[in-house]
Amino acid sequence: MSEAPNTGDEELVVLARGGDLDAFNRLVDRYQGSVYSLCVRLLGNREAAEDAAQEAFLSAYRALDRFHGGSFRSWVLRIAANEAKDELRRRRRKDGATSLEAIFDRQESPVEIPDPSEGAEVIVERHDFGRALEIALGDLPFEQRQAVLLVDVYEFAYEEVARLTNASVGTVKSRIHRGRERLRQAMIARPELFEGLVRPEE
Amino acid sequence: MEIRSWLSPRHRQRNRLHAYIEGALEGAERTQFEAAMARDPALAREVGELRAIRLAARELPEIEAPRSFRLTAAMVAAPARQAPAPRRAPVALRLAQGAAALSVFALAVTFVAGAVDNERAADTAASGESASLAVEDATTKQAPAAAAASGGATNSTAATAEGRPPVATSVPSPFAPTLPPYSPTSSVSGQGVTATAETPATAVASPTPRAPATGPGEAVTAMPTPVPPLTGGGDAATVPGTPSTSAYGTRDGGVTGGATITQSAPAGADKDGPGTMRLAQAGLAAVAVLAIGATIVLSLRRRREP
Repeated sequence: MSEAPNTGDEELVVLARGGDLDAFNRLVDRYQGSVYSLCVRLLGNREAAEDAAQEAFLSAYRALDRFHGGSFRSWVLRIAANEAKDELRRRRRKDGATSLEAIFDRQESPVEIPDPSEGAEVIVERHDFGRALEIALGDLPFEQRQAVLLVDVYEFAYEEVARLTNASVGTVKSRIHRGRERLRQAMIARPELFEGLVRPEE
Repeated sequence: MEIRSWLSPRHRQRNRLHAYIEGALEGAERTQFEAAMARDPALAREVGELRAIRLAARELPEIEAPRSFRLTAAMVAAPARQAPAPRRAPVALRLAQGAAALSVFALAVTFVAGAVDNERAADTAASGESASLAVEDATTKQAPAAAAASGGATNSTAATAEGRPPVATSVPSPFAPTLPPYSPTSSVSGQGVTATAETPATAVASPTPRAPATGPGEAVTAMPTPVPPLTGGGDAATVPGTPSTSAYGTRDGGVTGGATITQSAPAGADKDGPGTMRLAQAGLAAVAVLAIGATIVLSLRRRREP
């Protein structure tokens, strides 16, 4: 590898544009965790997420000329979000699923989350708010899940999500509000999870 | 964050709540919201729960990729995979949208046609007044009853709806193109008071004996050959055995007695009566409601899918 380990993203992008595939693969190494995490949370299926993540990096490589600076991570995450959506459509058509929610694979959890059938006791024992939140996120409708993930987990601006999803800012806001409310309803069903986390607001 | 003033108070409050947990609420709105939280413990708790969820979401751990996604020369050289084409709306949804649009349009047409019809009838009645084509004084004193009784000649609905005395007019009617000439013996009776119509233009006697008919609340007596009365307040009032009563004597809920008052009314509108129009409107409204409902349900179902 010709470039130094701490080479900046923009420099790697310049090298990759010149045909240096190794430079681009350095970027892949840096962000594949973020990209795969987003895909698996959006798709709820490891295999589909792997396909989407791979396609995202390939699309990013081919679209490097359209990268005009800023955060390479945000840029590649936007591409990944689109690829995840396309992957859902492909699988829906291929599998003939009647609903895209059916593709959300419950047998194969996106992360090591406890099986909901284990019951509240197990979750209480683990006392893992984050894992319960992963389950609740997976239960959201796709559009709400996508909006909440991009804004609350990946810190996208509403306007970015609106452009990405071809929706108005108002629609994105509405999806986020409804998504958060559904998450809250799911989480307050297990009040013990909130212990120590919620302090009454002044 | 600007909270739009045209939103309902509930929506504004929701927007403030989410803007607050995002740290985007500023200035007076932030102060007001904090005051509202201080007054409302449930709101304060909700804010705390949403904030905890948002913080936890930000701290969700990255999921380790199960393999490397590094690109190879072969991958880069391969043709790009085509993104799936945008989905077209399902046939059912397109059908529902089409039916909704058509039925709403047809419903609008019926309302416009009805309004135009009523306006034309009112205009006709008004012009009849100005032309002094009314029955004589004795008759006009009983004008409401007389006009109602001579429903075929006057659009009694329009006339009475506007609060002026319905006045029989002599505008040539397509329904009565061959009325017989004036007969001084004809008479119009309303609510039991009989008046002799002597104005040729307004009251034209039928040469044949007619069956006096009783509309809703009115009595029409045919002179000089009374025959058993007929009760018929509806559009299809007919006089058995008295064919001379004819179509123009029974339209629009009115009944022609001894005097047949001619007046034009839109051929299509009154022929079947306003009841038919209302029935059609009710049917169209039902179809529209069903089609719009189906469109909403199908659209919502589709929106759940990317």
